[in-house]
Amino acid sequence: MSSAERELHLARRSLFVLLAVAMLAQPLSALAAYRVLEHIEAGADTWSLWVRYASSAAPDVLFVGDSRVRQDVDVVGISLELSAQAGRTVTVSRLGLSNADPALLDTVLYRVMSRASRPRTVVISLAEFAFNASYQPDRTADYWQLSFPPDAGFLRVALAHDWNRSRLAAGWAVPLVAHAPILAQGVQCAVQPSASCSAAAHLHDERMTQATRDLILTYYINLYLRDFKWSETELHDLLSAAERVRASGSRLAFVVMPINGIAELSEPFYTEYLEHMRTLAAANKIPIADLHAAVDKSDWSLWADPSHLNDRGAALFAPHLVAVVSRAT
Amino acid sequence: MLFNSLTYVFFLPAVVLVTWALPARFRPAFLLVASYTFYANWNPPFLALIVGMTAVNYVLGVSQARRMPRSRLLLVLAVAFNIATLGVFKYVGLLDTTALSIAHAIGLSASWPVVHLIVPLGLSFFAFEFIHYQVDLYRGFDAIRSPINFALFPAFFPTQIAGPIKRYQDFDAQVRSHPSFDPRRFLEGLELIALGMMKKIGLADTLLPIADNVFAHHAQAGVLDTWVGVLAFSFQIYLDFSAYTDIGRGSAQLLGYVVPLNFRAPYLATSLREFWRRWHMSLSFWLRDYLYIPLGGNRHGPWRTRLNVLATMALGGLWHGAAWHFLAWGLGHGLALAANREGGLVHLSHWRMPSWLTIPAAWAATQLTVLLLWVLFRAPSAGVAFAVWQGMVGLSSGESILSAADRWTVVAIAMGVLSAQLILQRVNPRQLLLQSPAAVVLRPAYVTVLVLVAAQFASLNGVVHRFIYFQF
Repeated sequence: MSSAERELHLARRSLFVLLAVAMLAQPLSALAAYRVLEHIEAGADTWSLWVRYASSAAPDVLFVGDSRVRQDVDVVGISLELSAQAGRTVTVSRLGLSNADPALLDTVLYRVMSRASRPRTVVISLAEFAFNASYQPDRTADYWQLSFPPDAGFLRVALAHDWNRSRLAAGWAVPLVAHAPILAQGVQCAVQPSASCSAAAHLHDERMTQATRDLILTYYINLYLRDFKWSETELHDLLSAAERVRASGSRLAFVVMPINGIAELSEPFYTEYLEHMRTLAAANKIPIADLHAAVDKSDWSLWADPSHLNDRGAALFAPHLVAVVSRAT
Repeated sequence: MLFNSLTYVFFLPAVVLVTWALPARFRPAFLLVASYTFYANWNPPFLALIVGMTAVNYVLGVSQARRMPRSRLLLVLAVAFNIATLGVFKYVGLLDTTALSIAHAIGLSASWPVVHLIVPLGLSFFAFEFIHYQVDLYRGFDAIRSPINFALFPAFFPTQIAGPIKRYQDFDAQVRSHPSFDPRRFLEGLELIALGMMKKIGLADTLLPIADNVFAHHAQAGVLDTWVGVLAFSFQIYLDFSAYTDIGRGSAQLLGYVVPLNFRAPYLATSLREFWRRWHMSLSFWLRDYLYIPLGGNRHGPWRTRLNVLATMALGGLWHGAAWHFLAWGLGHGLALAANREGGLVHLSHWRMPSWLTIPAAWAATQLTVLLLWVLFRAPSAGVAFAVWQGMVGLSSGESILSAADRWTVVAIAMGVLSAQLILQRVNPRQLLLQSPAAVVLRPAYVTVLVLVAAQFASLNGVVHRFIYFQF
């Protein structure tokens, strides 16, 4: 074999190896990325929450919403209370996806309601920031994480909701595109752990301090509620999610979760927001419970931060949610 | 379309797949459509301008090729057309604002709306390739007869926006020969793209915020931080532009084409002449062949030669951007080159020094000049450039604005790049590897590692930055 032929032969084999690596990297990146994600987010990532939910039969009652649902809904307490009332076991579950907006809730409810086993009651938690047209969270990663197992209907709903459709489709076509950022974050967290590496962990017995309160309120006002403009799209997506639940024969209710300081800082916006939500719910005959002031705001031992309760606060809050479930229609 | 964007990650493989799936005779037409799509992805209306320029140059070129002897009038027309197009879009705004400033300076209360046209991407490169084509036709070379092949020459997407500035004789010969799939060229193309991605995303984009910080807050920066900031910019622009060239050359190779080299370790140059033979080589050679030599080159004595160098470099500077600081940067290089010529005032041979010191001293003097002149290139105005220079010699009351990590990052990248290039000048591991069975594993591993490192940095940076030379 001449040297040119040898070089050609080696180059051809190298290309085959490279192709094999590129193809293997697709499923491997998914496997690795979700392990990394679960570790970094302490199980509070969309993928882990969804897999946990989908791994068993649907509960009788499902709370769905943003991180407040994950933090404030005491599923054990509510289940015990509802079971005692009903004289049988009532199962309760929660899907609290960080920063979830109605578009993401609509997508996740598509998945929930298209399963063979569906919850009898769905309580959708409303978050004020989600209706701000000036705040557009990047949702593509969540849609990727909800993609397994793939089904055409889900792909259609996700594509309709994501404002970065080409990136979403790119991640489905080449999974490495979707998973590389997660793996990179994993490497970064392993090399240089920072607060953002465990930001979503469950806040069991954390107690709100003045510093946490000030920090989060500033963050909330300056990022989530800045230049608030009603988002018609998100309002439409909320009604779409509600319709999805009702079309499946399940009962539905809206709930506004407890907050501490956000409403006071954002007056008169917050009053207008609550009024808008009440009007919307009434127009669509959906029961709504305004619980934003249901937990004692002066007792900071119940709060992890201004928008989340700790375990003790959640336990005390549970009876309010039991009442919401009972009113669902 | 950015080379470092997600869109390109899908665009390039799709074009490569279709190109090799098509019969050879259809490939140029398909590549032309792909290249126009690539261009239109930025600003569709400007595609009409590029198509228009191509049509005019094609017609003038074909007319020229029919004449023997060649027509000087047609050459003048063609060159004037290309320069006028470039001038209107790129320099009218500058002339306008300058005229207004002069009017105000001499006390006239003149006022008129300042023209701010969007400069079409890659216009400078299109114009220079067309001018080269027309001049070479005048010099007796044959024209490209096929309109598709002609249109593909400037539009070819791997080199469309920021070069390298191709020579039509080389490119058209490749198009007409219908290159067949060569695994060696293809693999080398992938290696170049991976290297370019790593250089751009991993290194250049890491230096960018450091350089930006120092130039934005030069008044607050101390001596050390100012030097670090300028060094950061000098490596940022090299890594950014050479990364673009690597990705462009690699993309071309995936399609079966070879385009010219643009960089050959310029920061190892030991004279300014050598620097310009290593930095943006396709522009340097264009300026030499189509400006310096037609001006008389070195044929009319040392002083005229120096004047020609000065004029060439000044125009080369202005080509980079419609701002007087680019002209000053070019003039600075021109002056340094003229002074540094054999027999010049500051040539190193005038200094008595031990032979072992000659090369390091020449390297240090050359690179110091290059570094100081980058200030003119990067600063938004000559005033800011002077302020940065003042900061470099401790004349500003600056303090520490960079973190220790920032400073070490710049030093590590600069040392790493220079060391790697020094080693690669002596040992070429790629050449050693080509014939080795280990290549089957090591070459894919090299590509994979570079891509993973680039992905890691892309995720950390979180932002896709444009290539610096896109603005030219």
